[in-house]
Amino acid sequence: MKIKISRQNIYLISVSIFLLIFVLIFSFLVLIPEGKGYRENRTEFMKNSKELRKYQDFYDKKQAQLKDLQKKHRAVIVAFDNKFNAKRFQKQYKQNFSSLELSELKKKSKKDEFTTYEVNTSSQISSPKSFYNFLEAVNKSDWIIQVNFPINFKRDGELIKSSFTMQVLSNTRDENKTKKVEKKSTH
Amino acid sequence: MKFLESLYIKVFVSIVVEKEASDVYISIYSKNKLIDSYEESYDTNSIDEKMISFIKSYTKETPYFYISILDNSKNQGAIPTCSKNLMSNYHDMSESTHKCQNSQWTHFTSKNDLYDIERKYQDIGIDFIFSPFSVLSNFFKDKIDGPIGVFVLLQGESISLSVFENSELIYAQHLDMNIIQDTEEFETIDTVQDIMMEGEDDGIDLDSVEADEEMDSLDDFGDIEDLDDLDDIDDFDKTEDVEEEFYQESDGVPEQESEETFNEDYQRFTHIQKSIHNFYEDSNYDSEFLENIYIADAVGVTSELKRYFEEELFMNVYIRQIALTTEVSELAVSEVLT
Amino acid sequence: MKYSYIAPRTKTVFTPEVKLMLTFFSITIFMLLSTYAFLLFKEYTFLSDLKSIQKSQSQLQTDLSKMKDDIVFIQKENDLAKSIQTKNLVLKDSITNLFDLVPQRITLSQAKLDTNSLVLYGITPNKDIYNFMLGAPLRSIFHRTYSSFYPVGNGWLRFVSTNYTDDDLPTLEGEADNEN
Repeated sequence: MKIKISRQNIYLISVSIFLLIFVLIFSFLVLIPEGKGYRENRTEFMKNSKELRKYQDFYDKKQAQLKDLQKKHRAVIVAFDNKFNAKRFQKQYKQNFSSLELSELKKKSKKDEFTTYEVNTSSQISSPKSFYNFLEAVNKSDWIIQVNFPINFKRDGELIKSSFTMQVLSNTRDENKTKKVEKKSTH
Repeated sequence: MKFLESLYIKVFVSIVVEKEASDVYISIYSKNKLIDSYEESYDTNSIDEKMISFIKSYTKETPYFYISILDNSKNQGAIPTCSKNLMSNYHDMSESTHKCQNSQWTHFTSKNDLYDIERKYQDIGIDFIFSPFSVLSNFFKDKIDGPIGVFVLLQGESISLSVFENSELIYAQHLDMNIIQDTEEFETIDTVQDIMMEGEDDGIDLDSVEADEEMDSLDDFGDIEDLDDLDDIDDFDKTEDVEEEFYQESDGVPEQESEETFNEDYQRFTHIQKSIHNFYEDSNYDSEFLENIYIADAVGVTSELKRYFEEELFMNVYIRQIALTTEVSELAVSEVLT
Repeated sequence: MKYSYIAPRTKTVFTPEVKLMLTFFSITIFMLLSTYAFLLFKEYTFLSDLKSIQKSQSQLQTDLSKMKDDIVFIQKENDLAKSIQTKNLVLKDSITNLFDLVPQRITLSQAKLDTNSLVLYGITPNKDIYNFMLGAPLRSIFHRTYSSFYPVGNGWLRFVSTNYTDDDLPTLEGEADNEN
């Protein structure tokens, strides 16, 4: 028995089959790889954005830490940034001394980010106690100052003539000026 | 769309309905060329299951299928004018659909009959309905543009008669043999009874019937003996068509006529004669003497018919066989493919 | 129409079945294509987002390293400051200790402190007091001790005490040896 299908139906069926095959081929060759790619991209994106979030959190923590430190050690930071001002120093610590004179700031050394300047002082104190007070007070000064040898004390009547060296540490990250002032210490 | 059209074949279905049978002719065209054809005949004068399935088996192949049918309405005809004003002189067109051909003549048919056809064939649908006059004028298109002549299409139950001159329709009439046949039949029955009583042979009966009517016309044309003149015979020789020769030489001419065909041929002749008479008598038509008659034979007439015209009307007769289904199909093809 | 009384029915390739099939397929193909377009678009956005993530990540990294450096630096500063402050206090304590060392009966006229040396000038009633009360503690603190005496008018001696330590560590920090 021969099944006769009309030409119209043959055209219809063949176009349907063609379109069906096209749909299938398109789905399998194009859509499925694209879908896979999409999923891969998505997971990678998720991964990366998760990592970014972690980084962000870490950054935020570190930033908080930094801010905290900056707050805590504000005095030190500021002191390091401050440029040594002899006049101000004198004004601030005059009370410890009967008289106080400073030599010029001299650049002594440079190590890493710090430069050490030296100031020679000559002063007169009424008693060693004021010197002790001075030593305590200098820790709270506007600068980072280390009182250093040589330290001389000489009795001069009622007062003691003292001279000592001060090393001022400065943050050289933005400081590039060096003052050269000479003043002899009186001894 | 044109491209899509060319992908498909075109299927032309032509239906010609005769007395009790329908001829269905299927022609298949691919790229405007005929590639195949099939013909079947069905014992129905409308439509039946087998015919439907036959037609559908081809029409389902393509959306471009055209089903044509030959109009067999009793109330159809043709008139030699296209102007609406003049039409009413010839025929009352209030119930008719008409179509103008060549801007010169119009063929018409009954509206109701058209609806009937469409309704009858609604299972398959009809795309074209053609007038037998279109078929006739197309079939004889090589002869129509010549001198005046009678062009007749003989179907099983109807006769379409037309008079053309120089491709112009002069006169036309569509005759249904059934209607007149009723009156004829009564007479033939009487004569048959006479025959049985008298035991005379067939030919004599017809002659006796004929003698009453045709005496006058015979007088018009002169003595019967004139027919035996050599001159006339010579005329016949000159104007003989090739088709006619072929027709006579083939064994399509039944030498032994049965009573029925003989009757029918004569009936046909009388109808045609009547119509021609009508043409001469009617003042509406510009009548000229008709010498030539061209017959498209769709039914299969005997040589007797030819003889009638030659002997009694002194006309030159040219008979061409016509396959109606093929002709209808040709008309449909010309509607679509050109 | 040339010959026919009626016009033929419209013939169309697009029968209801054809129309249905084309509609179905066009919807399907449209959905497929839109899915494809969506996937392409998403691919593009993913790539651009990834790029921006990488950019911000590298930015964060640089910022982080800078912050780390800052933190380290601050800590360094702080440690340095603390050590300096400690040194100052230690110095103070040392000097305090030194002057505490000196007994009542001995009077200092000059003191020269240096990194590894200490020179004292003063007046002592007699050698023994000096040796006993000052010299001994000095000897215990310093590595090398020298003292020289110069008599002064009223029987008291002027002394010059030079003391050295030989190692790198400043030895002025020490216990407050209070003999007096």
